Amino acid sequence: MISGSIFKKIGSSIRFYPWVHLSAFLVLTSTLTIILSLTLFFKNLEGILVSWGSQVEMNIYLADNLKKEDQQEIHKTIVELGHFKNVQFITKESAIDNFFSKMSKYVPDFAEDKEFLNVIPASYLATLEKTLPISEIASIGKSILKITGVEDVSYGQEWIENFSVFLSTLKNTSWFISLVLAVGGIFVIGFIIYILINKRREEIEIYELCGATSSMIQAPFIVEGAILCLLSSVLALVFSFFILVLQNNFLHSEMIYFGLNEIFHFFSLIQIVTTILTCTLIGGVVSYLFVRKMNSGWAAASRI
Amino acid sequence: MIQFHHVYKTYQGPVHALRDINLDIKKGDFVFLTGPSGAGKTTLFKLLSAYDKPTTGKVKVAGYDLDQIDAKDVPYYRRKIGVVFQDFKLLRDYNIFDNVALPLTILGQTGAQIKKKVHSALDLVGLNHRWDFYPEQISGGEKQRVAIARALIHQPELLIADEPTGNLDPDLSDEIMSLFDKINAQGTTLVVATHDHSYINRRQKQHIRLKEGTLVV
Ligand SMILES: Nc1ncnc2c1ncn2[C@@H]1O[C@H](COP(=O)(O)OP(=O)(O)OP(=O)(O)O)[C@@H](O)[C@H]1O
Ligand SMILES: [Mg+2]
Repeated sequence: MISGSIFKKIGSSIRFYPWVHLSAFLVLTSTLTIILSLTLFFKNLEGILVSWGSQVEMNIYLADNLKKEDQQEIHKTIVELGHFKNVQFITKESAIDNFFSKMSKYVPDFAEDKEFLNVIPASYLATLEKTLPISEIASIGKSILKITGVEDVSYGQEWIENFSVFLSTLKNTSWFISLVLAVGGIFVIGFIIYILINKRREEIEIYELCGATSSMIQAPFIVEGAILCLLSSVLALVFSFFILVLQNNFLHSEMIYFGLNEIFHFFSLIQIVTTILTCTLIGGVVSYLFVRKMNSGWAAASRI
Repeated sequence: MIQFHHVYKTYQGPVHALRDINLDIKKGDFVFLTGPSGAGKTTLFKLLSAYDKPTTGKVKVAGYDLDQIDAKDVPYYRRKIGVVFQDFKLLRDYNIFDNVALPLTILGQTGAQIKKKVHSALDLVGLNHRWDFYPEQISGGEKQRVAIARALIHQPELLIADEPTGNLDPDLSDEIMSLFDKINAQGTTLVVATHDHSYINRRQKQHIRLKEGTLVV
């Protein structure tokens, strides 16, 4: 009986104030979509940053005029680090040849400039064996740099480091945005309930005067808030899924040149269920907090 | 059934709406309350219906100390009484049937029980043919009778009615008054505010007179 009348009341609440409900639904859905999409984006970007590690190649430049034994010693030390699947020695000559073939097309004069060519040292090209976080790649680089006879190590560290700084700034910013949006969302639910209660003050008062308890009066509002958030979160998940599909299409058509042929993944089933349940719970709790303030059993009297 | 002990009610202003009211109304009594406009009749009814608390003094009704009643007990007290408000207090968005059914819905009764009781209550006030109308579609006198039907539907121990015949023509007023007599005969205590002295004289009922917030004997 009670539950039947709760849904009847929610039904009539929607019928009488359709715009209040519609706007609340839209605001909540878009807020949640933004929050969920940001979360997904960064979750995936982090994954990409990590998986880039497997494609990182280190150029280990050697000092000039190394003895054969020293060079072999260096090779052994690098291999013994155990991080590389392939360590290839590039002689000064082949480096020069390589450089030649690549650059002479553009700047033919290079070919004549023997002194410049002398600058290019012998090196090792080492390919990382598996996916590693940026910080670990950096520390491998540092330990290689310590080996005597190694002049320099390069793996695009500046680029990667700048990118990760950029990423963490972006991440903090979007955390902040999400937080603001979440707080805003909570207020939206609260104000919707507040508006509905004010619009129905008279009705609540009459219910009270006919002997309705606080929980009878509050229950429909609480259930209404919970359902509103439940539906919004489901729709927001659907929207953020489509946004993800768009992102993937973009990655495949535009970003393939950057070696970014990764696919962005959606939330797992458990994460989806948790998201929906959390939103529903928040909706119910926020409604309760607002409705509790409004209806104290003496609504009629407190107005006098 | 009803005891008032040195009850004062002062509104902001200050307006002394009630001053030193002492009352003792027994179970089964039928009491008329009269007084000029602004004398404090509605204020007294607000105290009786736990709509408001007295500024000072004791109000005891049906075993409840209304001057210090806990908010959570108020609903249970209100289920024991029936109130006809001067401004009816009907739910605009509900039809007549649902309005009259409200106290039973709150008590958690089933649809079949409610249907039977509501139609017989509407019969008593002669409004069965309007059961699916909305408050805005009926006249003032009809609204008043809906309010009476709603106040009676759950067979309260105490029925208080603020000007229940204010909008009714003499014939209908007579009918409502004899309906009250019938309810009173079944043991319900009644307190009815009215301007119409002819009933009081005719019926030889108990009579409480208010003037500027005090009782006049
Ligand atoms: N909420 C309020 N705030 C301030 N004064 C009030 C309030 N309610 C009533 N009063 C004042 O208290 C006095 C008694 O009012 P009340 O409504 O009890 O009169 P009444 O006897 O019911 O009059 P009527 O016959 O016109 O209905 C009046 O002077 C009124 O102005
Ligand atoms: Mg009055």
